[in-house]
Amino acid sequence: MEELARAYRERDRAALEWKAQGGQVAGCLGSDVPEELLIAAGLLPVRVCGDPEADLELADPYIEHAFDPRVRSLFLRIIDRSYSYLDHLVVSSSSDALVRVFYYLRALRVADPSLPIPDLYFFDLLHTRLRTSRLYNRDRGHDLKGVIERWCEREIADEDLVKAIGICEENRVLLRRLSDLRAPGPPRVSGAQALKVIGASMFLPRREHSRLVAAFLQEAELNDPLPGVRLFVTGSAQDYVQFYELVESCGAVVVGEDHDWGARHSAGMTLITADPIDGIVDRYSSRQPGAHQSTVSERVTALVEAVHETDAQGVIAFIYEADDAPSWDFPDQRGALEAEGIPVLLLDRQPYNLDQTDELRKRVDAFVSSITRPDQSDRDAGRERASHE
Amino acid sequence: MSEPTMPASGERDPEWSGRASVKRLRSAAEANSYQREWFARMRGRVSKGEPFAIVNADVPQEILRTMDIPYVVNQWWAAVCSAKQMSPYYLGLLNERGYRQDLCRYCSLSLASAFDPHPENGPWGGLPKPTLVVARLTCDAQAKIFELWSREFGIPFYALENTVPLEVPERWWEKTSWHWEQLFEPHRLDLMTEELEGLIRFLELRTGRTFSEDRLRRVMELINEQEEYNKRTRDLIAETVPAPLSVTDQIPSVMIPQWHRGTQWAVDAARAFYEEVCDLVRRGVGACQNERTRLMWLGTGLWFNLGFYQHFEERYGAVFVWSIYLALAADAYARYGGEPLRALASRFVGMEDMLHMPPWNTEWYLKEAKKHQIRGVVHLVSSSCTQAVQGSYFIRKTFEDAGIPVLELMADTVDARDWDDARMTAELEAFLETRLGVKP
Repeated sequence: MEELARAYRERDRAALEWKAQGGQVAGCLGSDVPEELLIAAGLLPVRVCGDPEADLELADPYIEHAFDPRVRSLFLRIIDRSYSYLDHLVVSSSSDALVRVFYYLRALRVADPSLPIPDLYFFDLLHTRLRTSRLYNRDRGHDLKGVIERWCEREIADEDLVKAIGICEENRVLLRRLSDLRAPGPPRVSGAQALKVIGASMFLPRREHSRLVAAFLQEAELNDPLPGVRLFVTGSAQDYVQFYELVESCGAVVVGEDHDWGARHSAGMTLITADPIDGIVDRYSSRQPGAHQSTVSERVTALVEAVHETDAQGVIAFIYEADDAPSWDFPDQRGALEAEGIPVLLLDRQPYNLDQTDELRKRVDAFVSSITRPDQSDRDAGRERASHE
Repeated sequence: MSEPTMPASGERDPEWSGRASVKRLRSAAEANSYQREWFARMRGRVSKGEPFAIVNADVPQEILRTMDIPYVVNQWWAAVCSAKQMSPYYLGLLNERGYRQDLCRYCSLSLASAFDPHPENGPWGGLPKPTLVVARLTCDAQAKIFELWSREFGIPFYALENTVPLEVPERWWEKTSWHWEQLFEPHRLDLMTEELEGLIRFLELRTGRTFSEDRLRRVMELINEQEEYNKRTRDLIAETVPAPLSVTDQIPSVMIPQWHRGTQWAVDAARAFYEEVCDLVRRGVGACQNERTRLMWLGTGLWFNLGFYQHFEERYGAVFVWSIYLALAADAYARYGGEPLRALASRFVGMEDMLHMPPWNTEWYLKEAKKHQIRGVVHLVSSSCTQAVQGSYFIRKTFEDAGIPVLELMADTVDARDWDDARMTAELEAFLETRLGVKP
């Protein structure tokens, strides 16, 4: 775990080592950049993230407060030299905010060439599950492949793509095994540990990450079950563990989540298709819906399903200030969950930096305390009744 | 109509109410009058079983016009509700359902009006129950809002995708009318054309209405005619000092016909507007005879308080001569040549770029500012809508590099609850006095 935790903590280290060995590093902004294409060409994909401790006022001249603070923070890190080592930056359409970040960065490269903004590319993945969108996505996948080939000055063969799909799938299978150690059985891995293991895959070479995860899983399978109220987290993406640590310090275990820095990262399988690009882009557009690119109903259905699958006793919706998409989902999510007797806590308009946590801790503590886990036998009896009905 | 009660959560001064603008143009009064009559006719048609659609502003409404399906545009209805001072009440209904107060309000106010247990109390008798809703996914909230709408009424929702350009054209406004195939990347036009074909089929199946290529061609011709008048009107206002009219008169005279574009009435209304402006210019009549400075209003209209603009004319001789509405009609709508459906796709495929994305918007704004002899820019910056923020840094830099000061006002375009009239007035007055050197 220590190596994974270190990779999660020292997020630039692997990329800098890769660079030192002569490799190219591509930053990925958003969760829909098809890393298989980058890996197939021998690039290291690394996820761009914010820094909760950064002074966000420094971003004020460039990006408005209508953007949520996590987006403002990662924008700031791109222009403040934190990512000056990137050879390229691929932005995806994972949210409207990121689309606009792409426009801003592109315009900023022209308006202020002194800013260290890497070479930019936008991957325009559509999210409606329609044939027209899939065909559009396939073409955009081919366009991106062509761009990467120019970056690397070599052709990416289908065999390279198939091999890269294998690397990524192996990694995702391992991460799904990690999910199995969190739920629905007794959790043997905490939510904070899981976030670190998952997050490390966004910074390490994937094969190295898979090797470390495989070793971690072997040990974790032998862990004693963790006590505590089983909670599911929805809402904004958590690219750091502070909130999970706070929740788990209140007597709970986070057994699942639906955001991009958690279990959603490994959701969905890439199929080997006649044209490998089809399988790659389809996986990104058809997996479990993200908060920013789906309807309310899709999110409600997916959340209720995930809560059942993880056997969570309660749900916390943690939403950053100005992160509108999950706020639109929340009232219906709460209605659907409470109709099934699952309690819900809304933590809305949250800051990115959780350094003032007294009030937050009180609310989480009260929520956790309010949940009484019924006996397993009672729940089994309830399920049996439901199946008869 | 009974007065709606204010929501308990409302934060504004209960004594304060937005000011309607004083309409000075015959064309504005006639457009408003036509609008009300059209709305009553539409309600009559719908009550007899005809289909009725609610569409977002960036949906190619020409399809519905061609198929004779009555529709109301989401943001237009939001502006009407806001101007009628109903946004606090309607948004309060939304908040009562658990949606937080500072969610995207321009695009959800019309949905909020659908939650009113007494919809007949809405403006002009309220919106009838729609048959279907159509939106483009130009921001994260659109799919949410329109799906909620469709569920509220148990009606279908058709979503059109939004795409992002990789190329940045120079001087896009010179290419929109005739060279649109070169302006937009072919794959974007291909997808949108295909999606419009899907929309037509969807409407055919859902409403029983038919689509005629010939009719669409005629709709497109009428729109070209209308927009040519708008272009001439824009040019006339730009070059005339004192400006014959300000944005308060421009907005109804241009936008009501824009919502009815593709009809002979809209062409006639645009022509009447142009002729009225010509007459004002000929007679030397200005919006403010004592015009001392010319301002640009960047962003959407301040719908609940359109009288706001006129205070500065009266006190400072500062005239808001420019807003996006007439200028966009002049520069972005006309399309000549090519297949009509593809030409229609090209009208909308880049609309989001032109209006909200730097450098598309900033270069155009600066061109327009120079053309209109603008001395200061007032930029309405939304505090809660990413779609409306449009690159404040780039706007500031573009104008200030050109020697034109910019004032940013943080406010919502329809929500009167957050508006502090005294503070906003003071901010703008200070801007006029200190940055532009204009005294009362």
